[in-house]
Amino acid sequence: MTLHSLTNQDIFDSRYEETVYSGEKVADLDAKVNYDDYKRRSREFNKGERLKTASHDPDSAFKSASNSNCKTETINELVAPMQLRAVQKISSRSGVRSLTPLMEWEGSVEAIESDEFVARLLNVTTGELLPTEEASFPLSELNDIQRDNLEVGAIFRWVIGLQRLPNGNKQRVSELFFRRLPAHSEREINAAVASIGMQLDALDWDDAPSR
Amino acid sequence: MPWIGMTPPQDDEVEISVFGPGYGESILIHAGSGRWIVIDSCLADDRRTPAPLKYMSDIGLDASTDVCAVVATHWHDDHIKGLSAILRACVKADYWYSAALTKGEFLAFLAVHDNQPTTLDRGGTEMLKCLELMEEPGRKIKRLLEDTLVADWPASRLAHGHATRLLALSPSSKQFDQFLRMIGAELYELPLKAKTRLTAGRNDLSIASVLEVGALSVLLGADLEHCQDPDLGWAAVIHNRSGKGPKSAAIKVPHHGSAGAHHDQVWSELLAEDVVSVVTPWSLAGKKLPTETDKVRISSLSKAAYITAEKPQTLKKRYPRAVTKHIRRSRVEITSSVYRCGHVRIRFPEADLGKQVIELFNGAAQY
Repeated sequence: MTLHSLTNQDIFDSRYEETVYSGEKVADLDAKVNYDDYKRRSREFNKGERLKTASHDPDSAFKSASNSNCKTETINELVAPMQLRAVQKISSRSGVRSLTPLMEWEGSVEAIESDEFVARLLNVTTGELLPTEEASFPLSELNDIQRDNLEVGAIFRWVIGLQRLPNGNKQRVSELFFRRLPAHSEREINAAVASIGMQLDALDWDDAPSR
Repeated sequence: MPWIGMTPPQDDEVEISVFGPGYGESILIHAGSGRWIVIDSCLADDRRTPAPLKYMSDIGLDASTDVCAVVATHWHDDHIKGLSAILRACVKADYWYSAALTKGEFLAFLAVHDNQPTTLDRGGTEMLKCLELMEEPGRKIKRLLEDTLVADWPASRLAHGHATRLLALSPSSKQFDQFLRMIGAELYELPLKAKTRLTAGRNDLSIASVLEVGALSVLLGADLEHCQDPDLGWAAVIHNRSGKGPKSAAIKVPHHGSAGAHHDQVWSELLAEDVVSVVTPWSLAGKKLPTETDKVRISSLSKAAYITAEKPQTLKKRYPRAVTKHIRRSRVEITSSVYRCGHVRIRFPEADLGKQVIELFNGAAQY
């Protein structure tokens, strides 16, 4: 049984796909998963993932998402007690599910209608500077996790690419990956307030009219 | 390439240039004798250069020496895109922005919220960049509240011979207090989803202002909206300003001409009967401002009404065949269009007589 074919594993799939959508190859050998145990651990995974990405570099979380070692390690941590036999980088010949993007956009949800949502898109593949595309996506195509993350302002990646299945078959897919905001502890927020306070103190404040 | 007809104003001419590319706006003011003020920022057609900098370059001016003040009316990305580039170029300029936004709690809110995995632009990120730039020696940052004088020149300093000032009309002190209370509460309850927008993304902290040159007045509405509370929004401005100073001969219509920013008394008490209005459009996710109803309302109240960009240009994008096929199969409807960054320029050659020369560039139109 492969991870991809597990039933009721949307959350896991979502995490898993994040590790491979950029084209990296991660093995998903046979696995047996206790779903309740998985759900509990998935929550812990969420929390850990968010805390890991909490820094003042806006790109850090994104870089982190594409850091295969970090992800592989985290997934190992998640699935090991669930008797997943192995999750590791292997050659591309067998047991591999990967996604090679043909076109990628970064989008922000601008409106949600009864049967679709509208988003502004920045074409990442062509290196656009500003969003020039708008798209409406049918809500019926979203899974439960995507629906949970859908709200006005939400940021996502839309990837159209070539997916290689563990059995070696290839298929074209269109995937949406909604981003989550790193959670911050009260201590981190207090540190941000203090840091900004020091920055403000160092500025030359002057309220006289400009001349 | 410089736009045709672009010449710098005379020393004794007052000029208001309004730029708007369909999503964003910027205003450039020549107060006289080579003194320039930039309010907000949007990008020119190259999608890189801030429109006011491009215009100044096109007419042969040096922004590094001629701009004395840069004002950020609020932090939404349709008003602030490219502002850090303006501040970087205009090394002599003071940087003015809302006093509420200089509070550590708000900036920490931005810093924490902007720690997100995205390449999409967000106004908060640009605001933090601007703040970092002001750490350089010699740069001055200034706080704005209602009744703050942004710029003030005596008549003797300007070639047209009129005392000139730019006065902030908002935010009111009540808006200021409300905002800080809200930020204090929200900072520790950040949303768990990565978003381009904050719940704090309202327009009530927007800085409306008035330029007064002798008997000439121009009202610059920013994105200030109308609230029922008399101490907030346009109601507070009217209460504070009614009967003070000359009625304005021109207005940059607030919040892209939306009905939510309209207040009858602004038009009856703060504006002259023969007022000229300029609106910048806003277009996102199939929604557009001003609506046709807004246009009818504004033009009926104005001697002449102008818009910086009237119609978007549809872009024909070519995707690989496999991508096109899959877009179709996914039932995703994708469109692509852009506005040109239009420009409405109003010059007042004889400021005290109210004579106006209005010119339209790059797709701007009268409606």
